[in-house]
Amino acid sequence: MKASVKWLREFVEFSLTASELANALTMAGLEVEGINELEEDAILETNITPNRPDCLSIIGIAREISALLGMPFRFNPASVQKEEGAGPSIEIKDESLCPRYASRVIYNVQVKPSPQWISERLQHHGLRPVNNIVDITNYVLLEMGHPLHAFDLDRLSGKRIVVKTAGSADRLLTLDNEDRKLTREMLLIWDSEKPVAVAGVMGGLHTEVIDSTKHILLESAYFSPLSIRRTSKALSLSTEASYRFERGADINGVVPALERAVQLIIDNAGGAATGITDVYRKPLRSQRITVTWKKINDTLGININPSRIYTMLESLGIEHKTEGEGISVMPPSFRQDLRMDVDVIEEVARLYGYNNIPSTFPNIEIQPIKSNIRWDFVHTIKDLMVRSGYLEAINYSFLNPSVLDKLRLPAKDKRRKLIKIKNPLKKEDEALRTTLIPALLENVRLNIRRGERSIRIFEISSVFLHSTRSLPDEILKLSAIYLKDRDETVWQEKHDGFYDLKGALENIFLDLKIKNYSFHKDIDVKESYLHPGKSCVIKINEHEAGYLGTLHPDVAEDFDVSPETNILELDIDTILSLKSPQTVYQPLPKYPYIERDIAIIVPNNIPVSDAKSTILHVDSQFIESVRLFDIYEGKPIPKGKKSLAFSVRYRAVDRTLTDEEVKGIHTNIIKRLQDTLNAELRS
Amino acid sequence: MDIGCVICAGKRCSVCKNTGWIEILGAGMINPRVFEKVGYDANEYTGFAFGMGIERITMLKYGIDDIRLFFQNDKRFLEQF
Repeated sequence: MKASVKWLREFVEFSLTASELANALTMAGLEVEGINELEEDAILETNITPNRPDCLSIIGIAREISALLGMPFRFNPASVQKEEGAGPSIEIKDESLCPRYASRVIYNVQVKPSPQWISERLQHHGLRPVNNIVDITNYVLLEMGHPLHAFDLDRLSGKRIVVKTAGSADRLLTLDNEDRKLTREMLLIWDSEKPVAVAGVMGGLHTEVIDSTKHILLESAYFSPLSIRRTSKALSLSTEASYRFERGADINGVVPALERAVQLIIDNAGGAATGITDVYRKPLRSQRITVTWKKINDTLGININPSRIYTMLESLGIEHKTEGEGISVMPPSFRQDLRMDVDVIEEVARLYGYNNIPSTFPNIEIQPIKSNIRWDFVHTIKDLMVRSGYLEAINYSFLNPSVLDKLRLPAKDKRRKLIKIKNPLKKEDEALRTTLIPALLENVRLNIRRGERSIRIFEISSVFLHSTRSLPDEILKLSAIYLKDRDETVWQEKHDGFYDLKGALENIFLDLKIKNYSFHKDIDVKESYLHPGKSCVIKINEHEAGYLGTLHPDVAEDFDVSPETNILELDIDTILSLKSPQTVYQPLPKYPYIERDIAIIVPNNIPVSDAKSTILHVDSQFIESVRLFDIYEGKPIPKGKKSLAFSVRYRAVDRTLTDEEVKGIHTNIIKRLQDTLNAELRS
Repeated sequence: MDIGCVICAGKRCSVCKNTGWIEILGAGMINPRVFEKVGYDANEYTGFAFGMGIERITMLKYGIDDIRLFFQNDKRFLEQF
């Protein structure tokens, strides 16, 4: 809410400068966020909390100022104008949504541009001048905080107003020339045939006041905040009117606002007004609130004299009387935010001044925090990824369900059982995410589109899987992507990014001392979004811990990223449960080792890791390590085969091994490789 | 809660919109109805709550002008930290 200092002075004659005033208001809970200094005025930009709709007006802020400064509040409601005939016919069908509707008709107005003082004020407060009638309704909205609407009487069929929900009426062309799609429960203003306005939000184009308008019907009503909020949200349309109605207008301000507008219209556009029709069957009844002196003083930590409290409440326009050892107050219609004792105490605190309340330190025992192993572990992994050159991404926890189709997840995949959000920020992102991959792919796409040529990126975050328990399972995942620039000229590597990602992963395993990990190609990879020929399962002690692979070309196309995108997915808690708990010291060997090389020719599709583990399994006692030192394909090796050369290190813990012993084991290795891998010894 | 503007040291600038102050966190008394809902006796306990958005603090510290940058994961942004 913007507020002109000059306009405020019409109601309280303060002498503070704009910035002194801003400071005083801010300290009392009415935050002034900015001051716009003009030649002869200053505009305060206030940030009114949702509980104070009364301050979305000049008089509301002026009332606060008068209470803060202890100066009189000079507000005289407009006197009722001369009446010509009876008021218009008004019928309310949904009284719970519209408890009050008041109206007067003004005949023979002269529609023209507003006088300068009105249009200038509107502009200073961020409103666009239209014509004198519309401008006056907006002027009163700013001054009194009550939204009004003017209809062209001649264009209202039957010259009457009916307030009822949309029902089967499904469209309305609003003032902003938008064809609005309505829902059944939206509250509308109708004439005897058709809807003419979305109640409390925006008028219809067909009945707006234009230059040729002769007679007008002025509306001043009170609409249920919840109904206005729902309508405004459903239409994605927030207006000065809906903003005030959804926070709660002053139901007793309906008639004073109408009278003020009638007065201004007759003064500036001429015409003659009918009497008033005011449909208001169930008057508002405020709830009395009682609070003891003791509770006020205990809550605030001060000792305040009751007479000072009386003065404060009077200045705020709040009726009160002494009751027992305390006070009983009756909230005015414009202060429906006052509901319980602490709300009254807040008023005392605001006017006493928060800065005048003495500070005391709380008396508490502080416990040292226990370190959270899981958290430390996640932190370590993040550090390791960053040191491998990966950037940490943070994405929203929401998911647009259509991306699961793009990932080609099968119908029965558990990641398709989504947890839906009741009130999503964006309509499409309506579920909690069950995978981190789509957001990372979008990050890659955005970066490439902005001119990056390659990217290493990762995210560690929870995914939310449906559970039979009351809350979903939260599974902590690491997902990483490496997309390597094809045309990187500095250093041409043979392979794509797959091994880079694998290296980053092995770096994690190395640091966490996870040794029994293995990669399994082919049949085990069930992920539909990975390339079937270029992906593998990561296992630790035979437990599945994640996947590594190249994106499926079709999926890459759907996400608009390169088919050379490589993906790593890891289940953090599986790793946490499988990492070795503590290092156990091994004495260093005292006796020398013997090394023997072995070169074999195997079919191309045999992974090196298979050959390595075959060798290790021959003898667990004396084979200390196996190291691959050469891999070769091409002449004279037959097509479809490759040559692998290993260096095997033998050692005994208690003595020096003899040449004969080593020869024996070495022969067994050759035999085992021949039997299990169909290997030939290379001579 | 506001702090003195870190950009102009309270001398008034465009960042603090000429007030000399910028908002850093929200703080206040806990509504007794919240206590009732979670099973505390609101007559016996009062509470004070405060919380700050990590984005806002970061924006102030580094002079970042657009909050959306935090979730776009633009490499050129991430690389700076």
